[in-house]
Amino acid sequence: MNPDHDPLLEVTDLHAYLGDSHILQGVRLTVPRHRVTVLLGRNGVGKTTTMRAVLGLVRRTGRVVFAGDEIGQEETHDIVRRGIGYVPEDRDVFHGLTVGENLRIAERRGGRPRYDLVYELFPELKNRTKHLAGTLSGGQQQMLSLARGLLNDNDLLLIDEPTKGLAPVVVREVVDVLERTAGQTTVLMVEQNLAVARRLADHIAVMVDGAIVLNGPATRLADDDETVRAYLSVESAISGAGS
Amino acid sequence: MSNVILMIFTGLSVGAVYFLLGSGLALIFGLMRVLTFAHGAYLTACAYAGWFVLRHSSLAAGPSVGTLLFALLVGVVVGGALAFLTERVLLRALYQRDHLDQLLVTAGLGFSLVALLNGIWGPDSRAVPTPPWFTRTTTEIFGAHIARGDFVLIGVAVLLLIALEAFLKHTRHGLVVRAGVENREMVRALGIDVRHSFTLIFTVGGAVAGLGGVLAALYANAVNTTIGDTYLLYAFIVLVVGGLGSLRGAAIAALAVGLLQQFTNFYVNPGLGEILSFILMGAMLLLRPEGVGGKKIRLI
Repeated sequence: MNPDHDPLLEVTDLHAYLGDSHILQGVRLTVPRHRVTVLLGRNGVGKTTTMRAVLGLVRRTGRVVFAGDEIGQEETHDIVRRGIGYVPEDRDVFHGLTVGENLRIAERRGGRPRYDLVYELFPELKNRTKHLAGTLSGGQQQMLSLARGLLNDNDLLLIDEPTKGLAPVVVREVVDVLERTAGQTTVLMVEQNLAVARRLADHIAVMVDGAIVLNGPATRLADDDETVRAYLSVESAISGAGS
Repeated sequence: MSNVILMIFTGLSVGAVYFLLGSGLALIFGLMRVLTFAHGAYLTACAYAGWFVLRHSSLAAGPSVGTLLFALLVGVVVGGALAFLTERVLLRALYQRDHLDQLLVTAGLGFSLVALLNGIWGPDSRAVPTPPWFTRTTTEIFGAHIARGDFVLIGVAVLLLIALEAFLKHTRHGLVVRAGVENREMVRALGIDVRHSFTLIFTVGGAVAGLGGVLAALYANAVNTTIGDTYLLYAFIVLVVGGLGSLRGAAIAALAVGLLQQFTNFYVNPGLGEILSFILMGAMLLLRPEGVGGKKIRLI
């Protein structure tokens, strides 16, 4: 079956609110199975809010269908237990917990945590299981956050700006890991680094002012500099990290 | 010298009761960001529950160790049950609401519970039979005669601190609580229903307040409907001085407040210790609002 016709996640008419602000204004988004979909857009257009709305972390209305089931009314923990991993924008590792504890708390009841996989991808973490997460560098914290998302065998990974604020050498490391894991699961990722987005994306969705204006194959991004200029206003070669 | 030793032990005993109430408040505030005013009433209710179990014992001979332990158990169960019901019936519906709503509901519940106790048993103090070894038998340390009850209170507080730390460090629930104190939303995003932890922690807080209530009644040899209010006031001072949400901070602050009160009241002027406790709280709020243990948001 063509994966484009078999979406894992379908969002229709999604509205989300932060206080009195109406952030998402009818988002319509399709995330195909076993593909990496990158959500692009300028700062503040609602990319992070879209992820948080899918997870039920913000007040929202609309239709969210995951693996054929409507989850728009469910609680966050129930949504996540369906098989969704989340790597937030600011890493959000628990600073007062050790690396080992940060992973242990992510273990899902009834699941089989994939410690072999995460320690293979991030060998540095294995040597620091007893270190407090708050003592790790930004790059190591990002690795821990990714490891937490990859620990369970999720069907969908929501990854929010995984390269934000990282040194180029760490960006390359993170992108390598994302590339290795991308083939095994469906990914919806927010990424501002266009070079990284181009390298990883199979599909793209471009957001403007709380709505999706473009949702299609990533070739649109590679071929169409006009698209980049019109919707993103970013340099097409932000860094060489992704190349 | 003997007076100093006596003041140290009395201060530690008073601080132990403050810790019994304050530790629960610290856990609850740390995880749930709920400032509960009901726990003072739980303490009072459990003091009465303890008295109810012990009341038929002879005042002279006091209750047996078995009866005493049973009274403590009843206090723990009643305190835990009251807190459990409060969380499930009242607070759960208010988590999305303003903190003021939660505060008003718990304060209202506290007032109602105390009014109910007043209605049943009246405002007069009731004598609580205690075993002679608890308050009348003393141990001499450097010339000071320390009541055995002091050792019991201090011992229970130390055991409680150890038990709570072990719970937080070595159990999955403890892990969730510690993570929840830092970032509740991320805990939910990991697929954990944090409301279970809310119920557990609120119940533990109530059970510990219940234990404190029975012990406070034994220590004072009496119970009345204001016992919880008094301790709650100082437990809040402990909470602020210790750092909102810090268990170790609460332990340190409880000791500090207990010792400050006893030494000041004895050596300077009776009543000054209580005033200084409030001044200490004000100074902490002005100079170090994160408290002694709250430098980083961490329970232990």
